[in-house]
Amino acid sequence: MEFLESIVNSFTNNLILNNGWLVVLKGLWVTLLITSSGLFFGTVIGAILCSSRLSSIGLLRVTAKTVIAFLRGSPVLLLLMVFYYVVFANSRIDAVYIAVIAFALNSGAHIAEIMRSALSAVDKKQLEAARMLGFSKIRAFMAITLPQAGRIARPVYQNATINLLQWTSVVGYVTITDLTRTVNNIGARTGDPFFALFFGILIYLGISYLVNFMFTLKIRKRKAL
Amino acid sequence: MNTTLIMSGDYSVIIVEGRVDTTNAGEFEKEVMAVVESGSEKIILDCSGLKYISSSGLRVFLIVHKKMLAKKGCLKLCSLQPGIKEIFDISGFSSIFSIFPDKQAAEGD
Amino acid sequence: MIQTVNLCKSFGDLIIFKDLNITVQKGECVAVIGPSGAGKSVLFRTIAMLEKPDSGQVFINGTDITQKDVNINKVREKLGMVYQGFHLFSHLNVLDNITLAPVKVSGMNKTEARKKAMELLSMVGLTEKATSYPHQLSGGQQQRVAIARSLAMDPDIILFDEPTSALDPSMTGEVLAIIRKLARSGLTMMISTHEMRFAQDVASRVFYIDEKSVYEQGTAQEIFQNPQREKTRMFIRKLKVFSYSITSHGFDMVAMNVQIELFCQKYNIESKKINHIQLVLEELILEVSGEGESNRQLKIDYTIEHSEERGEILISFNYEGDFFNPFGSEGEGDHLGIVLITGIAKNFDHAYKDGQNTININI
Repeated sequence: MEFLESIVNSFTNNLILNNGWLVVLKGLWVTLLITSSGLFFGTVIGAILCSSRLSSIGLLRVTAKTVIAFLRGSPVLLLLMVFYYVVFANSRIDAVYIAVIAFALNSGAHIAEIMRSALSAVDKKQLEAARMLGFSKIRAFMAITLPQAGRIARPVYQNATINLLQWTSVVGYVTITDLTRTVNNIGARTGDPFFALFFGILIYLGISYLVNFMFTLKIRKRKAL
Repeated sequence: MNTTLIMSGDYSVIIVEGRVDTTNAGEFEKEVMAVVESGSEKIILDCSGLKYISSSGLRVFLIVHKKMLAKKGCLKLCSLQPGIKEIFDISGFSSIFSIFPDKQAAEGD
Repeated sequence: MIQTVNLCKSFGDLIIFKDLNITVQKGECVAVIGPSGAGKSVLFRTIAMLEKPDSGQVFINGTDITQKDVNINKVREKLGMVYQGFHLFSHLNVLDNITLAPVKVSGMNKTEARKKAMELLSMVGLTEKATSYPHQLSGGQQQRVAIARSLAMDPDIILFDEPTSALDPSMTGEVLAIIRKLARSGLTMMISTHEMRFAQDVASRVFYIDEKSVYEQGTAQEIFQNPQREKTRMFIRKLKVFSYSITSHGFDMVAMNVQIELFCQKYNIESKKINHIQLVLEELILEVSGEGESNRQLKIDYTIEHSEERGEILISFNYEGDFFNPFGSEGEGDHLGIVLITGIAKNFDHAYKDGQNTININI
């Protein structure tokens, strides 16, 4: 009973008093915003990098390869700091946008590699078979290669999404108040860091489950086809 | 090609094994003639291990046969493999030599 | 229908074919045969412009499709290809595999496309598999679907690139039966295949591809019953050849016999036959090398041809020198060797031309 009571106590202290839950929601919103925008732009960048990487133009291929290697090799936090303290140091762009750019670039490089390996895993002769039926190169790619590559890439892409979500927890370094920063602040204020931080972990866990669930939804729909 | 001499009753039995062709017919002749010239009157050539024979080998058989005829001795062949028997049939040697299915039959005759 | 003019194709330094010219008429079924790696697949791929020829032209229905302004997609709508490895669209079920191109390329409406697909499926005997996915089918079934997929576009021509090579022997029959049916229906087709009997039954004409071009062509009857050229003959009769040269009296007969034995064992020739081959050769060599002065250079070349199909051995024995027919000589000696050879051989002959004696012996 005492244990339960202490939990209720902590809950009230941390989340109810001073409208703590509103602050948490705000932090959660920032985290989700950075993650989803980062993923969206990352996918776009990934597609561009991947197609350059597989291009028949040598210069484009080498450039893409170098960019991917650089982005994948540098820690995302350092990348973020370079953008915040160096590249955009004198601009008035909101730190959240800077974070989106950094994460989009980082995950873009990873996604480019995911796409490349998925594309290379698809039977190229099927594309050729489609071309022999009269499909143009692009339409054959859209009808045959892309859906199959998507299926192969899905689990890795799902992992990349969750990785991205977790890595956004470092944005506190550049003054952004995201979910991690928020729960940390609350913990510091109430002097009960354990509950606040643990609660934060639970929320991240919840989002991860939600992401996984959304991916399985997509599969079910495909299977029903 | 390999020959082994064993004595069995009155008979000198020469066991011939392997291939007798142009390359070793001379050697084969020497080995068999050594037995003939040692004074054996009755010789059996046991061909159970003979795998291959060409005309050069057959000629040695013929030489030995003639030598034994001249000595009024006897030469018998036994245990010819089907492939060897065929060669003897084709060359007409089957009718020249006394051929027996096995060593017992050759000795008993 | 299909015509190539001086078609050349190479990959880097490797020349696949040079000045290859073929013509296939409408309604013909042409079998393309030849050793593996002779370029049968590359030929098909070049005809379909999946490989760009280095030079030369490909005419499909009178159009030179090597020209840049030709819409190759339009050409391919009427030019089907069936692959050795099936290559069905693995993310689509059987029905969608067949309807995809008619709907998306020809703009046929879905219901109509499905109806047609079901007709084709019943033609290849797979109606009950309409909703299965490719990985749920056997190889033979996949290939039948691939044929139906090709037919769905109503092609004028279908190229079958070794359609049964990837199949178990138990499944080749079902696929060949369908191709046979198509051949009878008057569809123009080219088939590269290793199934000689099938090629013989189904093809109106046969191209034998070797030495970077069409080495020999003719009706199935001509190519299979009476091939004119050396390599065609060896290929059709599945000949395996052993050749050997002797240039001195002191040659190593023991080593030669070992080599003959290894060659024969490789092709499962029974030991009795091996002995016969060795015996015939030994006697021939003795006859030939004994004759004439021994200071004369000995030059004997012989080949042993083994026809796997007929289980026959042909020894072709050449020796340089004056005319000398061991079978006809009445010289001194016992002729024991000749007696043995003539006893073993099924038939034999001797010929003399330009200082070369040739003896052919069948065993």
